[in-house]
Amino acid sequence: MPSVTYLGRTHTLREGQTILDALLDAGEDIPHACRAGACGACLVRATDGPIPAAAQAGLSESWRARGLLYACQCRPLDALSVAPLGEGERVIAHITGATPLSSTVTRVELRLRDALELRAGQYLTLRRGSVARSYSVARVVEPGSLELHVRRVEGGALSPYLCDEARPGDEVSLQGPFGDCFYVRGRPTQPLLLAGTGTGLAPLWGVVHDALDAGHAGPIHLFHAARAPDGLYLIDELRALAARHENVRYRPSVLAGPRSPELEVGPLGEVLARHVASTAGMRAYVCGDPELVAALKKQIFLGGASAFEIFADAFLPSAPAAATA
Amino acid sequence: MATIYEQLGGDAAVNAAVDIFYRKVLADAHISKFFESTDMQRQAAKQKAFLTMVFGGPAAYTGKDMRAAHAPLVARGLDDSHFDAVMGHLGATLQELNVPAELIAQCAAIAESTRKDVLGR
Repeated sequence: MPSVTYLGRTHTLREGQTILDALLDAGEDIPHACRAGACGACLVRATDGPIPAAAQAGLSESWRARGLLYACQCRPLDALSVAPLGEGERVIAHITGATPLSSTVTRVELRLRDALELRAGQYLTLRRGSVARSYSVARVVEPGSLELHVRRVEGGALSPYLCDEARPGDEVSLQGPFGDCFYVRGRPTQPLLLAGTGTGLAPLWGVVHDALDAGHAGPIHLFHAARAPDGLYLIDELRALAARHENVRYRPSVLAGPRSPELEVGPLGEVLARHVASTAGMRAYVCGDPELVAALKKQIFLGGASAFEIFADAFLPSAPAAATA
Repeated sequence: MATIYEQLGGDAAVNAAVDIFYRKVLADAHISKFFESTDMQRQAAKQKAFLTMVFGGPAAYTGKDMRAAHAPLVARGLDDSHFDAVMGHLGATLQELNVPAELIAQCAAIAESTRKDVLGR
């Protein structure tokens, strides 16, 4: 009989039920967000019993070895005991600043108390109390100091705090990093294609800066799209960056609105196709809205890029409990 | 004797083959619906596992895996015509990579051997 034991309490699982759903049904307080095995909010550590392979898909070798697993992807066939992550799996960080970048996006600066190896473009799960949400790292300013771009979601569980209420010195904990959406040295003349929507700019901001810091000489095409002009941010900074580096092309766009010489109009896929005739040989990074990310990945692949050189970070929304059959 | 996988050039050659093969498959309206998924990386990884097996490389497919993995597609109408189309794209991919005809025939034979499991018969 499949069951899950958490903090000494054992709960029986229905067939095919995830341990996250079983624990939530039983009233346990388990952080969770995307329910798709990506954000890492629901990670727990197995202490006894066989771990289904699907519950560890995508985790690093060392995390798998330590028994970490996604509760939202874990459907055990047998008895399994899990525990909340210990201090060793989390890193404490303090908020050092928050700067509005637009009416909805705030740059949140954090200082890590403990060492954590991470790259701009990867993402972290940020926890405060029992709430956890994942955010991309927009910049690692110096080892131990990092920036996030946080979009305020009205009625959200964490973003209103981060954008409006957080004070320097406030403590949060971080888990991660996750993801492979970061700049890799070694091919300094390869053309880079960076495309994102909304705060999908955060990982791209990290990639473009890391590339330039590394002396990347190949063309860097950066496309940032939003539904309306107020969804764009860091426009002046990116224009200045493109003016300083002749290999950087920055093209902001909106879905609809008046056309202007400085702002393109249309779906991101069309804007991209206007300027990039062939993606053959490019390394591509695509971040933001999941549906658009999926469509762009296909477009970029069919345009000639290798499937193994397209890196993506789809921003999954926080999902309510799945209806259980 | 070296396997086809080794003769082709191992892992890097398989990546190149996956790109060509997967692009053909997505461009084929008759079969693309079975290959479209929201996660392209995961799809590419599946194609890579398939081609690695076809090339006699290190793969861990069993008939049971093939059957289980394709059962949902069979339920959606996967049949011989789709399997034949994939065989065609496989052959064309290998021709593009200048693989000698006798090696292409060997790869086709390995791929053909999965037909029953893939179609759930």
